[in-house]
Amino acid sequence: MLLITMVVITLLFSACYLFLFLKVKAQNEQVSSLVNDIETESVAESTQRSTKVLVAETSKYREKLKEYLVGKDDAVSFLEFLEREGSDVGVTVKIESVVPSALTTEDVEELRLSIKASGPWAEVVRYVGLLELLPFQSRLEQLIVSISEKQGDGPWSVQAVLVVLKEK
Amino acid sequence: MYNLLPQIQKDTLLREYRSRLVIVALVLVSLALVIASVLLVPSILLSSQKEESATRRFEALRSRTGRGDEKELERVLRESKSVLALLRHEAPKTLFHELLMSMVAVKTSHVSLVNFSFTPSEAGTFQADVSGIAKDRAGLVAFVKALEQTGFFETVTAPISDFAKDTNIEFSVHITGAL
Repeated sequence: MLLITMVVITLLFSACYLFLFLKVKAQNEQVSSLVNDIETESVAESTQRSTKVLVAETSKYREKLKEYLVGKDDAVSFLEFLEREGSDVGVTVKIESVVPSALTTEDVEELRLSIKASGPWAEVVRYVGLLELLPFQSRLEQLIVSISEKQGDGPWSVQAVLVVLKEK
Repeated sequence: MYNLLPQIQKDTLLREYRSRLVIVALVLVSLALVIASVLLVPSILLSSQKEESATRRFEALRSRTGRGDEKELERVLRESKSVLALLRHEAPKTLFHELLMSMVAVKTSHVSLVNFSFTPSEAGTFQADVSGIAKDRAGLVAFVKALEQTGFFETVTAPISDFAKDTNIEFSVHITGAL
């Protein structure tokens, strides 16, 4: 009888010890996992802090960058600007088509403008120069200068394809 | 004494001794388990405290980093980087209006120009075709040589067919160069 009682008691103590041991093990594993998470979060926090600093530091440069793009709602005023520049130098400008095309970036697109201008030689060359030196990120993709068939607008005509970057 | 006992009593006594031995062993094992369990209690308390502290620190960190503006900040920087990549970083060495002026500047009265066509390429070069009418072959040759000597162009090519006619030659000169 005593032997059976002792066996039962020993089993109970063993179960109790095992329970406590497993509890300590589980807690240590949980702490270890939390320490890893804390390290990850610390790195994330540090990255976020440096990103914020970088964003704050580059704020004025990013504003400057945007000046090289036609504004989101400024497409019409840009077309008017091209026409006005033409009339200022003495050529007649007609924007024949404006085709937007997507780029790999989310917030920027390309505007492909087909421009026709006509006028005297010197003014036409000057207008071509203005198109090349626009205060925007642009390039002439094609340029044809020829003697105009319609002499009314001037003896020379320009057919240009201008590509300019625009904010979406 | 023991040897004087009958075999049955000897066996009973032996069983009793063995059971006592097992009981003593079990008591010792139980005692060891109790001591080990008591020694585990500080570990449990310490681990609980560590876990609680780590959880608090983790929650605090997460509340600081998880405000949602992280993606917006990254988007702003990514956008700027992509715009920078799209911008041309060097001013063009040659401008089309300068080429037009240089072509007209070297033209003589023997040559009339009627059409200029420029097509730039991604590689930073351009191709141009200049067409017009030359009074005679000598005028056309002089114009082609003058174009070559401007230094703006890499190649200036006048097809031999341009020289078929003697006078009033309708010509087309093909030009390549770097932008």
